[in-house]
This record gives sequence, structure tokens and C-alpha cells, in this order.
Amino acid sequence: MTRIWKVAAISAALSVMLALAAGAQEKAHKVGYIADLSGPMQDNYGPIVEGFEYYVKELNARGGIDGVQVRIAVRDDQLDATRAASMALELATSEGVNSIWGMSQTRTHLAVYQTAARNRVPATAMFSGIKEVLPPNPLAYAYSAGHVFEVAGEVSGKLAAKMVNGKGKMICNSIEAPGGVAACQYAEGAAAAGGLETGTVLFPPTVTEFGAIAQRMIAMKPTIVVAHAGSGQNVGLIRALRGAGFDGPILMGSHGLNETPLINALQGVGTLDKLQIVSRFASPDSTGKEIDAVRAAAQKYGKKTPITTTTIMGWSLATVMEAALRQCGYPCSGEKLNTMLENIKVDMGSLMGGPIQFTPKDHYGTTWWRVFQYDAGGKKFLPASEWLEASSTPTLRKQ
Amino acid sequence: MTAFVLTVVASWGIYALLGMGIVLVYRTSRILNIAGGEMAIFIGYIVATAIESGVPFPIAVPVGMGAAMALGLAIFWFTIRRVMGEPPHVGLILTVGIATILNGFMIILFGGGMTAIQTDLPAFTRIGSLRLPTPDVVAAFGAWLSIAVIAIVYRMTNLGLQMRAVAERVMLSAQRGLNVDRTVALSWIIGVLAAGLAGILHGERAFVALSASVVGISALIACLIGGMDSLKGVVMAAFVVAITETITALYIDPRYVLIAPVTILLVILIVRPWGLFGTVEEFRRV
Amino acid sequence: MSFHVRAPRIPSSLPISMDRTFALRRGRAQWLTLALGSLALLALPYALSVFWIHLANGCLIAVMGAVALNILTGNARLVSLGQAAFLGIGAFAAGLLQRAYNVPFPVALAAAAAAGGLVGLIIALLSLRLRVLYVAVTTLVLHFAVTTIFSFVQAVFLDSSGIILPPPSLGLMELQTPIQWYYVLLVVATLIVIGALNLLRSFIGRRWIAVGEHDVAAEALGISVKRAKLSVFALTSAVVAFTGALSAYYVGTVSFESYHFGLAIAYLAMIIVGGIGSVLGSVLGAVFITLLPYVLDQVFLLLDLRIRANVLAGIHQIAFGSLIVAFLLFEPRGLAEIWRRIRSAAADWPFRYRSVDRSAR
Repeated sequence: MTRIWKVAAISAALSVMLALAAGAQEKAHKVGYIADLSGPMQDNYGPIVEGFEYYVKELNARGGIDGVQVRIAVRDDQLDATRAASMALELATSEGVNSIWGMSQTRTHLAVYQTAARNRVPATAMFSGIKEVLPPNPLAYAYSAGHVFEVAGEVSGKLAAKMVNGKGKMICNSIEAPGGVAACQYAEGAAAAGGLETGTVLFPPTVTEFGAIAQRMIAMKPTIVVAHAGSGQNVGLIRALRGAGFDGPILMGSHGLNETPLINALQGVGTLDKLQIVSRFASPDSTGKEIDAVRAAAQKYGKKTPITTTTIMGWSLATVMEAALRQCGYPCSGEKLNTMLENIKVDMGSLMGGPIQFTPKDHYGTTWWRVFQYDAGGKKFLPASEWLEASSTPTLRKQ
Repeated sequence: MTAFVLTVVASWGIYALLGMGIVLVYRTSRILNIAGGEMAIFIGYIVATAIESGVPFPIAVPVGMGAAMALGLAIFWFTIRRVMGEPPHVGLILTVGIATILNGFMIILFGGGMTAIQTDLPAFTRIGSLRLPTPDVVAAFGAWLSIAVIAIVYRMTNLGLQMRAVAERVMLSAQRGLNVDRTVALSWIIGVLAAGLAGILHGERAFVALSASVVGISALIACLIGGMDSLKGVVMAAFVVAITETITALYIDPRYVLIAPVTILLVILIVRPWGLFGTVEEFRRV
Repeated sequence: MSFHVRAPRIPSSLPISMDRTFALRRGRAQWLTLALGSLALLALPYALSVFWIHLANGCLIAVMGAVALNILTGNARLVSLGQAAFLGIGAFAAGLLQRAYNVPFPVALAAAAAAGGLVGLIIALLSLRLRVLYVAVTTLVLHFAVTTIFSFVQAVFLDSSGIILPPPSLGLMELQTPIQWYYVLLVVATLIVIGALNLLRSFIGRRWIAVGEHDVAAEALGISVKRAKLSVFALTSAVVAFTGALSAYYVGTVSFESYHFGLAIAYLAMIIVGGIGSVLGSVLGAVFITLLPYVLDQVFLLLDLRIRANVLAGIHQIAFGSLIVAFLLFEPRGLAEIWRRIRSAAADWPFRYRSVDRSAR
């Protein structure tokens, strides 16, 4: 007799627990986010996630999207493509997200895009992007709201020509990796079309000492230097260039970097003069309703330090996410969300120079870019040009 | 032209200093320190962080040096002393493990991002009619001063004599009453100190980031070309590495900057594996 | 199938039979464990979520690479730091062929193995006369040379972020889902493990081990050390390249950045933690090291230690490095040895030990 009661008691308890668990599954949009949270580039990708999270917290505080909350599952890929693919798989299957956002450096993009496509979940990259999202045949389920090297390269060439009023010589430099090489080729083409003489200096990713390279660049007599190298190398390169006697403007071509560590590292040697950045996003010192909202949210959710361009990037990405989810409705599957993303146009206000727009044949869209120059007096990056529109099919490649 | 000379002298000094650190520990403990680059950058990060927190450069550097010596002692105490006498590849894999551990600590303690070491000196130094970039001047001066001090210690002090004795004939030194453990420990302390100084100077001249630990590879190439157990050899070989890198970057194409020293190393490995000045090891007839 | 050593007839007064020392399978108990183990492995996907099947696939791939590396570095004592380079060579060979000529899956794999074997042969030729330390350095140089070449090729000739590989087709079936891949990888890994076990007990393998233990003595015994070194390098590099190609098809992309030095360190960790020189060690080490980061993540989640999210990668690295150092210092025969000790303790219970050590293999 006791045994039957025991069995009954256990079954009852189990069913109650199951019911609770089922009931506890609240109604929510579940999205995934992958970034380098603890690896070598955490200074860069950390603030992007923060910006994204601030936006979602504000959104949920307003009641969510038509009453449905948004939940983010964040995963750390430590800048490793294999791990990023595993995280994407986990998000798509175990976590059941309907989309993946963020992603870290380009080396992880193809693997994540592949995994996302196989599991029919759209993946949208922010900061750095690969050309597989450009027309005419973008990868299915793959989008980018960041800097694609080819487009950024061409834009940097055009803007460099503008910054020196079409007279002089531009030297582009980059590491010898696929994105960088392409960026410099487009930069040279665009600068030449703008009336400048051009040249390129490439170096392997393992170089740490830039004295000789800087001297070589200076021997080529540049008026403006466009830098497409990586973050740590930028520091070494800029110091070496200034040390070797180059006083002209240095334009960092394809970065929406977190500028704080860069500025900290370049103190003290007069290297910050005429330091310029090309970016799709407003600098945190810009004005505008949306930027004020970012600042307010950052203050509210616990960040006492000033926001950076990367915070704005995360916030912008979340804006796109909200627009897509709103169009999708609830429940929103990966496939349905993908269809929404393929036909979306999101007005970004003061955050960017123009709307983010995807079409079935173009998972990148027309983009707007601007030069920001460092003002040592006010310690901020101020706009130094108007917003330049760039198509997603760059054509000015140097042959 | 002077800029070229200064660049070569500074690079030469840093590679030679880091290389000497590797050679010193190889001589006494027969372990090839693959972790030299990581050790250098670790100490570089410590000094850079100190300076960012407001500690002035002249105080931050001795702090870094102290940290380097402590690191050398810790590595010896926990690991090296237990593998002395094992075949050399055990020590090699051990240093690979140490490099990974140091890498992990750099990520946790310093975030792994980019930074640099600022000296607060004016950007340019004027010597006569020449205008030279100060970071390179400081790096060159610091590197060669350190090399000179280490050379003097090694050649002219009792400690140096003991280290040379242990390097040549361990058994005989032990029988003569030398405390071998203590000598090896001291050589590791000095070796890691040299690496740390090289890292500080590199950070002062270029930058500090996780990726900057490849400076250890250039120094390792110098050690192998010069002979893993020859201090004189590594200084000469560091010159070869520095000048080929600089000439390749300036006059050929910076894309091939690492290829030149690596090619020289490959040639040496085929023709004379023990290096230009290393102890001749018997040529295996198998 | 197995290469038994036919021991001479031992007088029946002795209760010991030498036959069993060399046998691959001893006794009914082991057959039973083998059967149960195989059943468990075959049924595994039905008990796991897709993510964990994916991790299991990662383990299987790691097992293949680790077994090969262990034979080279553990048995033949040729320390190789070039594991990442060989994996990359296989992946790029297969990827480039696929992209240019759309070759069938088995052809790509065979080409990858051939490429790996060729490069392994070259490296072996270069390092024939070198001491172990210099062999390690040569493989280190190989690593940097190969990764630089890949970067150059990818940037200049491919102009892309990587090569995309379509799902391979085996006969009529296309390998799409992790479960399908699991069974294919399981079969391949089993074949490689059995092959390694037999190879090591064959005359080829025993020559490799002899050369690894003491090459001068081996030469004196009449073994051609030159041929042994060349063959072990070529064969193991071929297997590693094969694994690299297989892994590339599984992930679906090939890009030079995946083949960094940390990968070589991970494989070294696998054989050191698992146990240098034993195939069982390779398997244990491969599974352990592959699952380690994910297990660490779960542990930290469970303990809710409120660590900043940005220290996890650092903790992974420190765990890795500490494992290498700890096992190197304290237990060079690795997890395999620990397993043997547990096994013989269980077999001898309630006795503490038996006078004849039957667990050495």
C-alpha cells in the first residue's frame, strides 16, 4: 500500500513541476548575441553588447514589443571561429533563438553565417563585415550593419581625397589579410578618382615594430595616410609615423573602434593631432535625441564612464532588431524573421547618416559615412566632413 | 639615414636583450624558453598599467623589473626545479604551457587590449643637428645599457662565474661545492628580468598588446641562428635579424619582413643546426 | 586482423602464458565492455541535444588528430609543434580543390592526405639529423611559414574571407545534420584508433618506438632510423591533414585564421594530459581537452561565482596551461595511467595490489 502512495506522490510532484515549468515559459522574443566578451578584443566588443543590452532593457521597461518582452542570450566566442560556430549552434538549437546578432571579428563570420543558415536563423553582424552580404547574391540568412571592408575602403579613399581637397598623395596601409588588402585596393581606386596620387604598403599581421615601415611610407611622400591595420598595430604605426616626421592627417579607414583605449595609448607623444576616423556611426560627442537616449540609458543601467562609438553601435543594432521583431509579430520564427529582415528599412535618426536598409538582393544596403577628427582641446572626436553616401556595390577598385 | 641606423640599433638591442634572456636560461638549465615573448609582454603590461594609473616612468620601470625577477623565481620554484635533468623537449613543452598560463593572466589582469608605455619625455630629441624620435632613443639606450650590465655581471662577477661553471660542467661544479639549484634559480631570475626589460622597451617604443608577443619569435630566431648556448652568438645573430627585417621593410617590401630571418634560420638548420657560434654537437650519422 | 606475437611454448609448470601479454583483447570481460561501449556510442545521439552531438563530433575529430600526433611525438619522440599547420594543409588542399574543380568528397580527402604526407616527408628530410629540440623548432618554423602562406593565398588569390565548402555527399546521402556526421566520424575515428593500436604492435610501429626510445641503439640493432623517421612523419602528417580536411567539411568553411598556434598547443595538451605514447591516452586527452572549455563554462554558471564575463577566456587559457604543466611534472603518463590505476585497483579489490603488475601495456 505504502508503495502505491509513494509512486502517486512522486508522480504528482513531477507533474506539478512540469506544469510549473511549462507555465513558467513566459511569452518572450528570444534573440541570441555572440561577441568576444573575454578574449583579446573584449575592449571593443564589450561596449557593443552593452549598448545592445541598454536598448533592450529600455524596450522591456516600455512594455516590450506589443506587450511581449525581449530576452537576449549572450555567448562568448573568444575570437575563435570554431567556438563561434558552436555558440551559434547552441543558440539556434538549445536556446531556441530566432536570430543572432553582433558577432565579433570577420574571421568568425563565415562560420557563424553557415551555422545560422543551416538552422534557418538570420545572423546580423555589427562592426566589420565580409563581402558575402553585398549584392548581387548575398548569403542566405546573413546580414551586416557594420563596416564591410570593400565599401569602407572605397569610402575612405573618397573621404581622404576630400580631406586634402583633391591634391597630393594618399598612402594606404593594411595587414596582409583578405579584408585589408581589398580595403586598400578600393581606397586607392577611390582616391585616384578623387585626383590623388596613391600607394599601398602592406605588412604581415605579426609585425610589431614599425620604425622601418614608417620610414618607407614617409619616403613615398604622402599627404595623407589611410590606415586599415588592426588595433594594436595602429598604435605602433601612428607613433612610428609621427616619430619619423610625418605631420599630416592620419585617417583610420575601416574602424568603429572603441576609441578610448586608442586615445589612452597615444597620449604624450603629440600623436593625436590630425587623427581622423571614418565611421558609419555618430561619435559619442555628437548631439541628437537618440544619442541623448543612449547616454541616459547608460547612466541609468550603471555605467558611470562616458559612452563610446561602440555603445552607439550596439544601440543601433538593437534598433534594427526591434523594427524587425515588430514587423514579425509573436511568435516569430527564424524563417519569418528572415523574411522581415529581407525587406526592412529602419530610420536611425542622429545615430547614423541614413537608414539601415536590406533587400532580398542586398543584405547590406546603401550606407553613409563621415570623418571625425580628434580635438585635443576638448578631448573629443568632432565631425570633420558631411555624411557621404556609399552604394553597396563599390566599383573603383585599383587593378 | 640616421633614422635607419637608429631603428636598426633599437631593434637589435631589443632582440639581443630578449635573446640573451633565453640563452642564459638555456645555458644553465638546458630549457629553450618559448615563453620569452609572453614574459616580455607580461612585464610590459604591468609597467603600462602602472603608468596609466599615474605612477611615473622612472618608478614604474623598477617595479616592472622587480615583478620580472619575482616571476623568474616563481617559474623556477614551481616548475623548472622539478624538470632539471630531463631531456630538452620536456622543458620546451613546459615553456609552452607557461606561455599559455601567462597569456591567460594577461587577459584576466589587463584585458588583452592595446596600450603603450609613455615616458613623458618630449617627442623628439635633438643631438647636434639631428632630430630623433625619443622612444627609439630611449629603447636603444636602455637595451644596450642592460646588455652591457648583464655582460659585465656574467664575465666579471662571482655570480657570473658560477653560472658559467654550471653551464659548462654541471657535475664538476656540484662536486666543487657550487649550489647548482641556487645558480640555476638566479639564472632564471636574470633571464626573465632581461625578457621583462626587453618587453618594457618594446612597449615604450611600439605598443603592448597580446599580439606583440611575437617579438619573442624574432628573438628565438636570433638565438637559433647564433647558437642556443652562446651569448656572443645571440648578439651577433640579433644584428642579422634586425638588419634583414629593416632592410626588407625599407627597400624590398614590408610584406616579407618575417620571411627573411626565417629563411636564414632554415638554411642554418640544414647546414649548421647548432648555430653560428653554438657548441658543436655531434652530427648524427643516422 | 591483429598481429599476435607467437611466443615460444612455456613449460606448463609456470602458470603464466605470454600470449595474453600481447593480445589486443583479453578475456570475456573485455569483450562485454567493448560491446556495451559500442552500443552506448551508437545510441548516444538519441540521448543528447544537437549542441552536445556537435561537441561529440568535435571530440571525434580531435581523437583522430590526437592519435596521430601521439604516435609521432609520444612513440617516435619527434616533438611536433606543427599540428595546426598540417590541419590547415589538409583543409586548404581539400578546399582549394573543391572550389576550383568541384571534386567529390573522397577525392578531396585523399588529396588532403597526400598533401599532408608530402609536407611531412619534407619536414622529416630536413630534420633527419637534428636532435629532438631542433626538430621541434623546425616544426615551429613550419607553422609560421604555412600560416603566412595561407594568409597570402587567401588575400591575394582568393580575395575572400574564406572558402565555403558545400555539404559533402557520400554515395546517395548528403552529410547535413550533426547526427549524420556523428555516425560517419564515429566510424572513421574507430578505424583510425584500431589502425593505430595495430600499427604500434606491428613491426613498423615497434621500429618507430625503438627509434623514439634510443635512435643510436636502434641503428645498432639494424633498424633504418632514416626510414623509420620518414615513414612516421609522412604517415602521421597524412592522417592529420586528412583530419583537417574532414573537419573543414564539417564546419563548412576554410580560413587561415582558424589554424593558429593555440590549436597546436591544444593538441599537445591532449596528448600530455591523456598520456604520452598510448592510444587510450590520445582518446581520453582529446575528449577531455575538447570538452574542457564548455565544462568550465557550465561549472562557473552553476557556481554562480559572479565573475566578470570578461575573464572566462583567461581562465580557459590558465586551465590549459596549468594542465600541461601539471601533467608534465606529476603524471607524464596522463589520464591513461590514472585510468589504469583505477582499473587495477578495482580488479585487485579487496587486495591493495598484486605482486605481478598485469596492467602495464
